[in-house]
Amino acid sequence: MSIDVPLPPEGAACEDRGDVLRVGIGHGGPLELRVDDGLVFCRFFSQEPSAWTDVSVMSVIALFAANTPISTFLRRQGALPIRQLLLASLIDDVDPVDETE
Amino acid sequence: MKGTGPSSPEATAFVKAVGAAANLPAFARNVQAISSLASDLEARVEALERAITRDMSLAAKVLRIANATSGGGAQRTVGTVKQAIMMLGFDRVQHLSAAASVFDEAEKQAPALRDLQVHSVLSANLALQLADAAGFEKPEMAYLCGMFHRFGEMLVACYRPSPYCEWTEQVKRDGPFDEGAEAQHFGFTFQEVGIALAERWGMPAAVVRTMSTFRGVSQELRLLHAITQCSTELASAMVGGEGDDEIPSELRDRVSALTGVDASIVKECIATSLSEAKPTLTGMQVNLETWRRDQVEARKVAVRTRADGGPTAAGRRARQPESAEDAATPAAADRLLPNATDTEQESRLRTALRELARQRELAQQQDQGPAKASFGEASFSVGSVTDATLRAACQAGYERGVLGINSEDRTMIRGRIGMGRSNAEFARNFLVRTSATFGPLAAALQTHTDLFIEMSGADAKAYKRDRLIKNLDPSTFALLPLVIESELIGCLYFDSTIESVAASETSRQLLRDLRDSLVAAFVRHRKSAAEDATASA
Repeated sequence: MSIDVPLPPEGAACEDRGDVLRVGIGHGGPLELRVDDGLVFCRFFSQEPSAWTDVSVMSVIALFAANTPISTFLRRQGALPIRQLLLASLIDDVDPVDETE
Repeated sequence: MKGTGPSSPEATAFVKAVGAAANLPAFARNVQAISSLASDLEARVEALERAITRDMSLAAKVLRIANATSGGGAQRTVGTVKQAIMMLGFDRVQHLSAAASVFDEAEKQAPALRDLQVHSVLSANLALQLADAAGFEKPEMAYLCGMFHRFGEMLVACYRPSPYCEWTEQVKRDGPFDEGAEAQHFGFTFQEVGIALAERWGMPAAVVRTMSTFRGVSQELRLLHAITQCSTELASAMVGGEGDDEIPSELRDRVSALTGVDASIVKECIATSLSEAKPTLTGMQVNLETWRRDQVEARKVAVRTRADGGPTAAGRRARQPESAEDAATPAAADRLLPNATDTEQESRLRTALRELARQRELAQQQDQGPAKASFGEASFSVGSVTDATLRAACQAGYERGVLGINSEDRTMIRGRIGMGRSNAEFARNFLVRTSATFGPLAAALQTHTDLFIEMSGADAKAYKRDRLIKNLDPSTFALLPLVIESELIGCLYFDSTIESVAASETSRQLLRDLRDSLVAAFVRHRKSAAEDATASA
């Protein structure tokens, strides 16, 4: 089950550590992000066990849309949100928004 | 955001089917179930290892990722799947292996899925470079929009593999078709279902909006929309060519005109985007040079097949509506000038168009001017432009014309204003559905396709099946959809029942230009209404 990653506050510290980006997101952070095979994974550094979990596709899309150093990192690492969304649709891991809103 | 939803029953059925997850490969189902079946981590690791090692290519993939993560080096080589699971973590390996299995299966069913993904990566990188060059403030957003522009088609390839394969074969044999022609095959357009699903999943509004074709009219996000459209067109051209030098200079000029990026810079953007796309494509095990060579070869084969197969269906299809901002382009500006070779009908259309262009310019000046209110309603109102357009068409040989407006539920267009013979009755009785299932006129409206039809031969046979055409019984007719940001707001219909109208390509283009003026008047009206609403709030 994928997890949602909150958008980091504007100006949040980002440390590029090669394959991994460490982001100070305030609560539960810092957070580490990485890309494997076009898919985005994260782990909260302060949590135990700090296992890598796949990030929900809508969080990935929101990170891209925010146009921050995070999206640049994800893009350069080969993140493919379109592939991830297709996958999420196939494994029923993408929820419709409430259309009554 | 509340979704507008698809308009045809076929599209609704497709949208409902997506996400049903009925056809997951057995491997993916097993791997997903491991977490709930096995009681502790060790048992889960063993179960996952067993599942992965049954598939050699998957095991190799997991080991490749694990070794890449370990940073390489002989001393840190990961040699077994179990080691890889320990190193990467259970969740990560579980997700990666399930994903690989799902994609392998999907690409096996629809080989075109991989091509579409490569196209989207190229398009995304082009959008990023163009956004940068155009000074757009959110280039990463442009990247996202470029990537998702053809998402609907990708979903159809994935969820309807057999019909999609048939469709691509048809395109290879008879195409390329006009945009939206797939509605005659699937009962919906790729764009329609892509947008419906993107809205349903709550994707950013900019991504949803730019999934539609940019037609020059955009109340907001104009630059982003233009960049997205251009990136897709450039990616398609790159797929067909053997190098970036193969991009036609006309396309580069068009991109330049729409985005404001100098044509020479566009060329640089193409080169940079190619090199930026390479690492991502390498990660997908795609060698760009080989892939492009294959694409060129496939196209050559298709062209040979088409040459052997006689005339194409696409040749009879009318072209898409031109941009409503065409008036700003040199070609459209040229069309405003008197032309010595014009027939009498063409000359009348051109005169009307010139007058509308003048009124439009005047209206724009008024809108921007400080004393907007003092001018009152400009003569570029929806009513005045409709009147001028219908009148010009009737003077150019059509017996009658009507403006139809789409109903609130977007299912039918009803006549509102008529001109020519029995105009009031004609407008009252004019009704056409907007879903392809209701016949060829409805299909043209759904796919936003212009029609100029002479009722003879095969066309007579095909269009006589349409209830409206059967009732009106024209000898010639034209149907021009009115579209704002991919939304069908209505249409113009002209016909003649006594004698056919000599519709030259020039007169057709001039009628399209008149239609575009009317669309521009609608856009202006909407903008003005929105401003008034804001002011009164």
